[in-house]
Amino acid sequence: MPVPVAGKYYTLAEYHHLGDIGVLGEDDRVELIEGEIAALEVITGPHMWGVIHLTHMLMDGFGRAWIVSVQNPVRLPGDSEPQPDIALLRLEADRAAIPGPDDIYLIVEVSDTTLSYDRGRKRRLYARAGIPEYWIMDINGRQLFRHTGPDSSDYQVVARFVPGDTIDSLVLPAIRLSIAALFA
Amino acid sequence: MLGNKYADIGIKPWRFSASDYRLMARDGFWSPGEGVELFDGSLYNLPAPSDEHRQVSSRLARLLSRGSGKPWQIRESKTLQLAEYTVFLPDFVLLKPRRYGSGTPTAADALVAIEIGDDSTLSSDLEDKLPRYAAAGIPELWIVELRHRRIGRYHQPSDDDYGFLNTFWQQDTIASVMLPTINVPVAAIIGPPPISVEGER
Repeated sequence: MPVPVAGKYYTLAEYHHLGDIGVLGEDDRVELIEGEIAALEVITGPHMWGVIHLTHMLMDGFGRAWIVSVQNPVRLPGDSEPQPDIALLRLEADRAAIPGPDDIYLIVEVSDTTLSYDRGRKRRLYARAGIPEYWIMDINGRQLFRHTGPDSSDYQVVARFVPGDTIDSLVLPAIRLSIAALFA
Repeated sequence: MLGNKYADIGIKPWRFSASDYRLMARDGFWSPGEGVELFDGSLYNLPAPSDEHRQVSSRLARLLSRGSGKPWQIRESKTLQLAEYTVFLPDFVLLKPRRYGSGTPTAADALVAIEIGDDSTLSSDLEDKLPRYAAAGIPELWIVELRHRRIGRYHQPSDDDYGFLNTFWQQDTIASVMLPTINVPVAAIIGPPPISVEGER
């Protein structure tokens, strides 16, 4: 059967124009994913605290080697502007622009209600954009997935870390975190 | 089905309101000739009508505008707001006669809505749109089923369905319940049956 109707596709420019004409406001929690405007999930307590713990751990004790951007947009090719929970950015990133793939070391999504989305469509989105490393902190599973080796379809290497393990970043080797401490 | 497009991929579509829809239309997000509808907060592009769809539209436009002093006003392929997050472009709406200005008429203004269902739209007319027309309280809905060469006339909306359906075929005359002076042979709307191979000899 033919698809009866097609959902509208929004370009990045149209998405931003919606802000200019007052359709989308600063308080609207939205992101643009491959031409579709998506509502962000309501943040639960466990999600919020996961983001807070991880943010603290990624900021503390590392000097100022990268910028920690929390729940802010990143701009990706293919009409996408998601708002990952955490993005670690290069110090050289343009301080007036929304960061793009070249500015990003690592993206983290904290998942409690969105695991299949974060492990599916979002993961492929970040891989195709060439984000070198992508972590998913799975709150309910008390585990963390580290994805590396992005190519045009997906990440080629995935590693799973559970309490007792120490996760290290391949892009930023200075980062070594205890999973047990993260979920404490 | 329309509303479930995103269910399996995890995206929760952002919901635009009818007033967002008007802002976007005024700003030129789509051209007036491009059929864009708002269904439960998501925008959809309607497929271009088939040739047969266009022919039936022009016959209906002529049949419904005959005579004078009619107790209705015709609106063709223009916006009708059914709910806060739903704006359709019915093929025809017969409205209570009054001055509407430039605003979008709402369900309370409508007497009869008509959708012409061609192969690319019939299933969504029946499964997705009919429940919305009923829920909005549109008193009467006609769905022209081109493929089956018949017209379904629905009336008495309750919840998301209609209490009555009468089906009118090629040899019948369809009358409106809300506007009984509308009385039209189905054949005059749908047109002659397609010419068979034998008929072409």
